[in-house]
Amino acid sequence: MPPSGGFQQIRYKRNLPFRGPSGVVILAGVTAFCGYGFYRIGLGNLEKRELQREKAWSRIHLVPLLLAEGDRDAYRRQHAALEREKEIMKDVPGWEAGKDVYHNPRYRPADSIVVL
Amino acid sequence: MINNNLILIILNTLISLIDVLLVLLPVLLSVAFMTIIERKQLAAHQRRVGPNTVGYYGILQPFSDALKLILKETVIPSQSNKILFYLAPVSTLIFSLLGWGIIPFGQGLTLFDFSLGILYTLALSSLGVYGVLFAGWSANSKYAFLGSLRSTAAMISYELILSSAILIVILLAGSFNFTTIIESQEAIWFVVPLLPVFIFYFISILAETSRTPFDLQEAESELVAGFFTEHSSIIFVFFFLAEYSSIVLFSCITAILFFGGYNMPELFVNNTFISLQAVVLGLKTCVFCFMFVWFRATLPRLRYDQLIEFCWLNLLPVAVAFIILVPCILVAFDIAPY
Repeated sequence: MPPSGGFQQIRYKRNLPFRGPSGVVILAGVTAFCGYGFYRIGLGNLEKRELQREKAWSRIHLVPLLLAEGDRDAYRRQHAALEREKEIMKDVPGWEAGKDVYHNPRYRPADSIVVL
Repeated sequence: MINNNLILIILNTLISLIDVLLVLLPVLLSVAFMTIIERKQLAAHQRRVGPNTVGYYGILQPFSDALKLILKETVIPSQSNKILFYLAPVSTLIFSLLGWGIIPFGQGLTLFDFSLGILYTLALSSLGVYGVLFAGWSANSKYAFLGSLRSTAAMISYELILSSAILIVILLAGSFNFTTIIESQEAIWFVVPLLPVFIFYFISILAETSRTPFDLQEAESELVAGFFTEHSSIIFVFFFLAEYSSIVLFSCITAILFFGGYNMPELFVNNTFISLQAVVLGLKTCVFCFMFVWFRATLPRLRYDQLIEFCWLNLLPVAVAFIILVPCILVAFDIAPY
């Protein structure tokens, strides 16, 4: 028979010792750790952006030079093509080297180039 | 002229093949040794000796195992779908080996420096699920089918977490390219700003490779082998290789995404004779391979509902929260990569 007043409550609560740092400390630690990480990432990303900006501007500043080089090369090729045409067609009487095939004096860039 | 072109094409093909073999053979060897490392390390965790008779310290054990499995009889269930039954292990192995194609082992030391490398990796890890699904279905066995359904559900769920974690890395680096991600980590390893992300990333790759504590689709000590119940002999070897290959691959990807890949302290950088970068990446990969086995030795297996609930109710909200938090930090302090 049970004792009067019933059995004692069963103590099911586990009494585990509290170990390690508290939750707040862990949260603060992880936040500080990640904060430092983001600071370094920020420095790296700003440097990355600066390098990209430098690259873009160096290309922009090179544009006139590259254009001039391209024009010079196109002029040289045009004259070489004219010389070549003269040489090839020298036996054809009445052939005008460099004359436009469309009978139009307007300037037209060459539609084919010879890589030499 | 035509002859010359033909010879050039053949030579180029041969050189590409040699390139691929140069990566693939060491990878397959590392997969073989991963199995012996796992057995030795588990033994050490459990105060046992482990395999120690085949070769010195048992290092030839994987080759003996493979030989044994190859010499066994291949049993094909008579009512199975034979094409898919063979195709499934082959596709699983191929998809896990294809992932090595875009891993940079050093500066410019990669088979293919793909600008969308991360997407490629994610796509391959999704395609790997098909092998599991086909294997379970084609065997025409209830056990294999149930095993494959459970595997597929778990893999698809955890892939979500995996891709969320990788998305956060992409936000920090501003690129899908592995080499660019490694170079962005010259400022600091991504594990420092993304420590909580790294934790749930690692949990999700444990589930993605179906390792303990998420290996209940196989549950070696409780169920039969899960989705490859009916697979035997050489096709079983394929599944085995695929599993360990993806463990090594994911360890390598972890090293690349969070631990600076082949980056090392500037003190040791030398561009003179030997590139140490590949060695550094290998060492970092070894650390994560060790962690895979360490978790297996330490943690008990989850129940299936716990597995799925942990993914959808605990990990996913955290992942989404971080996806919102990280861009907020980047924009608020104006430190985005672009």
